[in-house]
Amino acid sequence: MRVGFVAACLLAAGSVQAQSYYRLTFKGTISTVDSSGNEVVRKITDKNLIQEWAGRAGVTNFKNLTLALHRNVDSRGDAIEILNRKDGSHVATVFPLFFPESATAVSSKGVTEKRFAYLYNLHQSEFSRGTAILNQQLMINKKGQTNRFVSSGELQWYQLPEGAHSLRIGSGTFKVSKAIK
Amino acid sequence: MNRTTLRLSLLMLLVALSVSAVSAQSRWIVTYRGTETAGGTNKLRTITVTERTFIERCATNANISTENLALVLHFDADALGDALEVVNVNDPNLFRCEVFRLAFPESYTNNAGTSMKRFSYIYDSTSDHSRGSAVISSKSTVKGGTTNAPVIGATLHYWLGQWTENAGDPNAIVGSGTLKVMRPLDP
Repeated sequence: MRVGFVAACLLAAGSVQAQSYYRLTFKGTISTVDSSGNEVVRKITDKNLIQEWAGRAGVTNFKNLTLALHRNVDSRGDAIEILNRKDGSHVATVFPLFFPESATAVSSKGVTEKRFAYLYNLHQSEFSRGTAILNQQLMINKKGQTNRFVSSGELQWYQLPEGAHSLRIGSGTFKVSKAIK
Repeated sequence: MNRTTLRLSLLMLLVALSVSAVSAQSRWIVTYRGTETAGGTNKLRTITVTERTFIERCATNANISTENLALVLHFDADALGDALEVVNVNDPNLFRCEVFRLAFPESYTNNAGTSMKRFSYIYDSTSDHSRGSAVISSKSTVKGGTTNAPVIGATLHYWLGQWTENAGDPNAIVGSGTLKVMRPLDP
């Protein structure tokens, strides 16, 4: 019975794959030292992440861009990406959240998960550059269809010196809201 | 990009052991507040984790009493970085149990030397792949030419379980929490 339900959950999760982008908001801080050696701690939001990563991709107009959690990018896990809200096109990948390790509970209402994932930075991709802790719930109706996905969590990472920036250490929390169609 | 996170090699360990004596090390007694979550049939099983949890695990594994044991943040434990340890406060040489190695730090210190932030990879004794990360902050103030004791804290993300090269552990335990330094252990 349980195996059957798990299989149904997995099927349901699979059915989400084609529509697996969820709007994501982020709040946190990033710390560094400036050229004078003074510590600078700056509050950052999704807007700052969009500006930096979309900027690297050559984008100069950040209007209509949004952060999204892309569930099941591939077999390695999820990713935080930047999408164009108007046409849904992919602009840039901010942080792949790969190789998850999860504590999972399956009930008649769906799947609850506490997930650890390694955070990567495609511009400094040699090793993982941080970690994420995610609280996720996939709610399933009686027909075995996903009717809601919610996720929130925290990230901590570092960015090696690049350009005008010296080492940066960031952390913060995120929340996933509605699906992006 | 593959599953290889930063990996602790035997060579690195040997280098660390050979030069650890020259590290400017210091130990600080800490408190810890966090959780560890395991999977379950209908709901997740989450326990509160404090410094007592780590102390009791170390004492149980060594079959000793928890008397005089404390959780300490050990800066520059060796050439690989810092460590979170349970030690005998009267003499760390009497008992030392490594909870997590906080290796390969990436850190900055401001010009005044009053502020430090450090990202480290967490390792435990069960795997040579990283198990998480720690971000340590240290701030001290200078008043009247005297530098006060620093306020030190850290946030930890980690997982416990069986490392498998191409898959996650179905019985993984996911942990996170924060630690705060209370006082220096070393005089």
